[in-house]
Amino acid sequence: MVDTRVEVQDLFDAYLWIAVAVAAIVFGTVGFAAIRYRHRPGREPSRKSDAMTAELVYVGILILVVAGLVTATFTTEDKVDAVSSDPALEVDVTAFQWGWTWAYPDGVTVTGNSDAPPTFAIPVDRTIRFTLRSRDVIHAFWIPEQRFKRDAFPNRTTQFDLDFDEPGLNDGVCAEFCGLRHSQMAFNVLALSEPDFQSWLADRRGGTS
Amino acid sequence: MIRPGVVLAGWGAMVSVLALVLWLWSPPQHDWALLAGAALGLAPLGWIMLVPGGRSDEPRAIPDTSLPTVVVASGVAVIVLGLAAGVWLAVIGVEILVLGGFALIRELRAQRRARRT
Amino acid sequence: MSPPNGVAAVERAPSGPLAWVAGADHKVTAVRTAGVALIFFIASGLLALLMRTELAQPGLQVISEGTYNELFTMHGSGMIYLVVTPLALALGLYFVPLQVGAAEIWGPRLALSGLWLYVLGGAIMFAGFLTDQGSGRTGWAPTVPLATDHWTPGIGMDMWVLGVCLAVLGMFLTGLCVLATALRERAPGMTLLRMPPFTWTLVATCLMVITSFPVLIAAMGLLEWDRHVGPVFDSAGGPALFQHLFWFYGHPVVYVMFFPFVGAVAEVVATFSRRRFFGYSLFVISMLLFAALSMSVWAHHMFTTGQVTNQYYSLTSHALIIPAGIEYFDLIATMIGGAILLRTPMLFAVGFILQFLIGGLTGIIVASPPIDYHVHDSFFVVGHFHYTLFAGSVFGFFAAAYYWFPKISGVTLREGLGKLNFWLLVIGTNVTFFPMFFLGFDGMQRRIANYPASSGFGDLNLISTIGSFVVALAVLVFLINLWVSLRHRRPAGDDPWEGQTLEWATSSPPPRFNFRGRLPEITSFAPLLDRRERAKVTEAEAAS
Repeated sequence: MVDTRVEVQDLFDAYLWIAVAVAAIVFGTVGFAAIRYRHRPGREPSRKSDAMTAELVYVGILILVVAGLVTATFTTEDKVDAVSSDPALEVDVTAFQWGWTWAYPDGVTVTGNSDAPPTFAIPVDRTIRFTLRSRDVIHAFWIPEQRFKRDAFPNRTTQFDLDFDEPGLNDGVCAEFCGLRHSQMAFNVLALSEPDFQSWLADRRGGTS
Repeated sequence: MIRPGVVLAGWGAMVSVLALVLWLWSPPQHDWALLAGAALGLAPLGWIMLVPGGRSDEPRAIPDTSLPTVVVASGVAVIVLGLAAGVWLAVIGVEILVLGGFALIRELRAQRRARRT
Repeated sequence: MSPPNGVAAVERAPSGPLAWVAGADHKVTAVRTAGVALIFFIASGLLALLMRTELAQPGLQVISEGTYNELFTMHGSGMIYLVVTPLALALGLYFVPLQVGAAEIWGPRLALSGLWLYVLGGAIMFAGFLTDQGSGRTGWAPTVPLATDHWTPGIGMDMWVLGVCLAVLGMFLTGLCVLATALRERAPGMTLLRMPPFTWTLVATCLMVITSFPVLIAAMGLLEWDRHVGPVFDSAGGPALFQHLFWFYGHPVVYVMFFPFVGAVAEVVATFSRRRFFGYSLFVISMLLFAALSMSVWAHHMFTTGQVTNQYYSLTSHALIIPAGIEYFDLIATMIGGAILLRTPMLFAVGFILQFLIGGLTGIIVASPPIDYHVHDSFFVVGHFHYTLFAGSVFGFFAAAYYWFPKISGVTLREGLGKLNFWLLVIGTNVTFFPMFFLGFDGMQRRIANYPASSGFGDLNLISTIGSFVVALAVLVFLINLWVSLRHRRPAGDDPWEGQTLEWATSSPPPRFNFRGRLPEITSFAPLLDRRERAKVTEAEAAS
C-alpha cells in the first residue's frame, strides 16, 4: 500500500529545502559580490582567471548532490509506480471528451461530463487498482490531493494504485489539454468508510447511476 | 590546436554515449535511435560546413543584396502553403521558385566571374 | 597585413528598400530578424495580456473557451518559434562573425533565406486567425490524436503546422551558417580556444539546432500527412511516437533559447566586472556537455505517460545540474575580485543570473518523476518555464540589447530609462510568475480558460494578472528608450564599455565587411583586454 500523497509530498519537501538553500547561497554570493567588488577609483580587478582545483572539487560536490537526489527519486518512484498483486478494489476509468466513466465490479458504472460532473466513491485505507484509458484523445487523470496524475491514451491502458487515507471529497480534473471543454472536465472522488462505500455501491447495483 | 572536425566528432561522441546508455537501459524501446540518428547526422552536416572550398583569402565579390534568394525562399513558402490551400497555390509557388532559381544561378555566375577578375 | 579575406572594405552598409528586403550582409539579416521577432513579441505578449485578463477571476468574462485555446496556442508558439529562438540566433548571426574576426557569415544567402522562411512561416501561422475555424489551437506542443484532422479540423490548424515547419527550417539554416562561421571563418590567430565565451555558447546552441530542428520538421510534416493524406499515428503507440519526435526537438529548443543569452551575460559580466571571464576552459567543455545532455532528456516531458523509461530521463535531467553549476560558478567568480559597474546591461545580467536560477531549481524539482506526477501540466510547470524563458532568457536578451545596441546602431540607449525598464520588469516578472508555483501545486491545470470559484485560485490569479500589466509597462519603457535614443542620437563610438572582444575593435556600426585594416593581435579570448593590459605594462616600464 502506498500513500502517494505522503510519499510525493515528502520528496517534494526535500527538493524544496535543497532548492531554497541553493538559492540562498547564490543570491547571497551574488549580492555580496555586487557590493564588495563595486568599482571604486583606483580599484584594480583581479587578474586571476581560473581555479581548476577548486572548481573540480565543486564539480565533485555537484555529482554527489545529483546522486543523492536521484537515489531519493528512484526510491520514491518505485513505491509510487508499484502495482499491487492484491488490490482491494479494481476500477476501470475511461476518459472522453469531456467527462469520465468509472466501471466498478459487478457491472456498476458511474459516468458524468462537463454538464454534470460525476462523483465517484472509493473506500478509504484500501489499495485501489485503476486501469485507465481514453475513448478519444489523450486526457490525464489528476487528483491533486493525492499528488498523482497519469495520462489516459486511446487504444491502450495504464495501471496504477492509489490509497486514500482520509475520508472526504477530493477534486479531480483533466490535466492534458483535450479540446474545447478541457477546463470543465472535472470529477469528484468521495472517500468513504468501507461500510458506507459498500452501501453506495449497492445503491447503484440496482441500475441507475 | 583543436581542429573544427574534432569539436563535431567530440560532441557526436558525447551524444553517442548517451544513446548507448539509453539503449542498454531500455532495449525494447526505440527512443535511443533518435539520439543515435542525431549523432550520425553530424557527419553529412559537418561535411557541408567544413569541406567545400576553404577559408578564402582572395577577394570575395559577395553582393550587398540578393533579391533572387528572397524569391527562392518565398517560392518555398508558397509551395508549402499550397499544401494546405490547394494545388493551384503550390503550382504558383513552383513558378516563383523556378524564376528565383534562375535569377540566383545568374547571380552566382556573376559573382564567380567577378572573383576571377 | 591586408584586411580579413583581403576584401576591400566598403565604408557604408547599403541602404534603401532593396537592402531592407534582400540585404545579404549578415548584420542586416540579423537586425531584420530581431526586428521581426520584436513585432511577434508584442503580438504574442498582447495575447498573453488577454489570457491573463480572462484568468484574473473565476468565470468566463472576456473570451470564449474556443478563443482562449487559440490564444494560448499562438502565445506559446509565437514566443518559442517566432520570438526567443530567432532573437537568440540573430545575436549569433550578428556577433559571431565579428567576434571571430570574419568579414562575413558563412553562407550569407542561406542566412537571408532563413530570415524569409521564418518571416513567411510566422505570417502564415498568425494568418490562421483569419480563417473560419480559427488559428492553431492545440498548444505550442500539440498532441496526437487531438491535432489530427478529425479532432481539430480547419485550414487554420494546417497553416499553423506548415508555418511552424517553415519558421523552424529558417532557423535551422541560420544556425547552420553561424556554426560554420565559428568553425571555419575565424581570422588568423583566432584558434578555437581563443573564441570568446559568447561564440562558444553559439557553437553549443547551433549543434543542437542542426541535429534537433530537422526532427521537428519531420514530426510536423508527418502530422500534416496524417491530417490530409493517410494515417501515420493511429496505432496504439502512435500518440507516444509523435511525442517522442516532437520533444526530441522540444527540449533542445529551450536550450537554444537559453545558451546565447548565457553567452551574452558572460560577456556583460566580464566587461562590467572589468575582468576576463573566469574558468574559460571548464566553461567551454561544460557548454558542450550541457548541449549533449540536453539532447538526451526529452522524455521528461512524458513521465506521466507511463510509456517511457522514466529513470534514464530523470538521471540525465538531474545531471544537467553539473554543467549549469559550472556555468554559475564561472559567472559569479568573474564578479568576485572584479571592479563592478552596475550599468543597465549589468543589472539585466545579474537579474538573469538570479531569476534563471529559480527556473533552473524548479526544473530540477520537475526532473523527479514522482514530483512531476503531481505538477506536470499544472501552473507549477508554467511558472518554471516562464522563469527560465522570461525571467531568464528575456532578461538576458535585454542585457545583450543594452550592451550591443551601441555597436549595432552607433548610439547609446538612455541609462535612466534603462534602469526604469529593469526595475519595472523585475517587479512585473516576479509578481506575474511566482504565484504560479502555488497555483499549480494546489491543483490548477494549465491550458484552461476558466477555473471554478470554489477552487480558491482567484486571488493569486488576480495578483499574477496585475504583474503582467507591469511587465507590459516595462516593455513599453524599452520601446520608448529605443525611440528616444534613435531620435536624439548620442554617438557611442567604437568602444563605449571598454569591451574585451573583437567587435569593439571596429566602428559602430561596423562597415560592410566588419573590419577596416588590421585586426588587433589575438592572444586569448579577450584580445582587447590583453591589449590594454600590455599597454599598462609598457606604460609602467616606460615610467620606471
